[in-house]
Amino acid sequence: MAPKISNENVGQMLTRAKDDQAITQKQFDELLAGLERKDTLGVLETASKIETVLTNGLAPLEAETAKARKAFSASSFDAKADPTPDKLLIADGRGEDLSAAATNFSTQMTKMSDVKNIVRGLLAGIDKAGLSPADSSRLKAVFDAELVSIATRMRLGGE
Amino acid sequence: MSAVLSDQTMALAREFTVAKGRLVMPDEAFSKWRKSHATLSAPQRKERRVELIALTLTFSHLGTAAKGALAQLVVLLSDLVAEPKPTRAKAWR
Repeated sequence: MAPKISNENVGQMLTRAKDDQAITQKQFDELLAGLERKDTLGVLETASKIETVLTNGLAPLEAETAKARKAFSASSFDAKADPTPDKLLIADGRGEDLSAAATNFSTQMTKMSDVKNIVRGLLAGIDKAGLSPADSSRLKAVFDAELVSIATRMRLGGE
Repeated sequence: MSAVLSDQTMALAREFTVAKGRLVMPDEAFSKWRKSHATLSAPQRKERRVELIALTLTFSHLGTAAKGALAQLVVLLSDLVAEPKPTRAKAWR
């Protein structure tokens, strides 16, 4: 069933936000111009992951995270061979430097966590789109505490 | 996947405007897009969902001034996630 929301509800949210920071039309126009000029593939890829979770639940993303974790566990840090903390070696002795892979893995995990948080926020918002006063407060909190703060760390055009 | 937002989604993005320092889509345009989304096919709904999420991520860079716009985007998204309502003609079948 489609969640219910009215323009009045949105208006109430705007009224409550009256003391918030302001932007100018020029700033927004620049953002739109950037969207038109810039390659947005990175943010679209992130959005696609979120959309998948939005429609299919968290299970596929959890599976992807587990797969990444398993792949990372297949490698091991050989402290005896090389005590350099950021030097990771494949356990079979091939000696391949995996420090870049470790960094990438860490980044991926952070992105996964970010995506999951954003999705949870969106789901909470959508679930509560009926917007009673308590619900709208929750939606506001979702944007304040999760979406806004997380997305500011994710640059337009890629993370 | 395309590297840029579609013309339709850019047109939707341009409907937002700054009023008293806050980003919001006027009611008339908001209602128009909600109705427009009700006519999309399943693949089009999916594509629009992805692009609206991308817009949501982008607008969130504007901070709390975009709170109203973000709320409106969530409403548009919730419409697109929900099953489309049957048309009157189909309802009578």
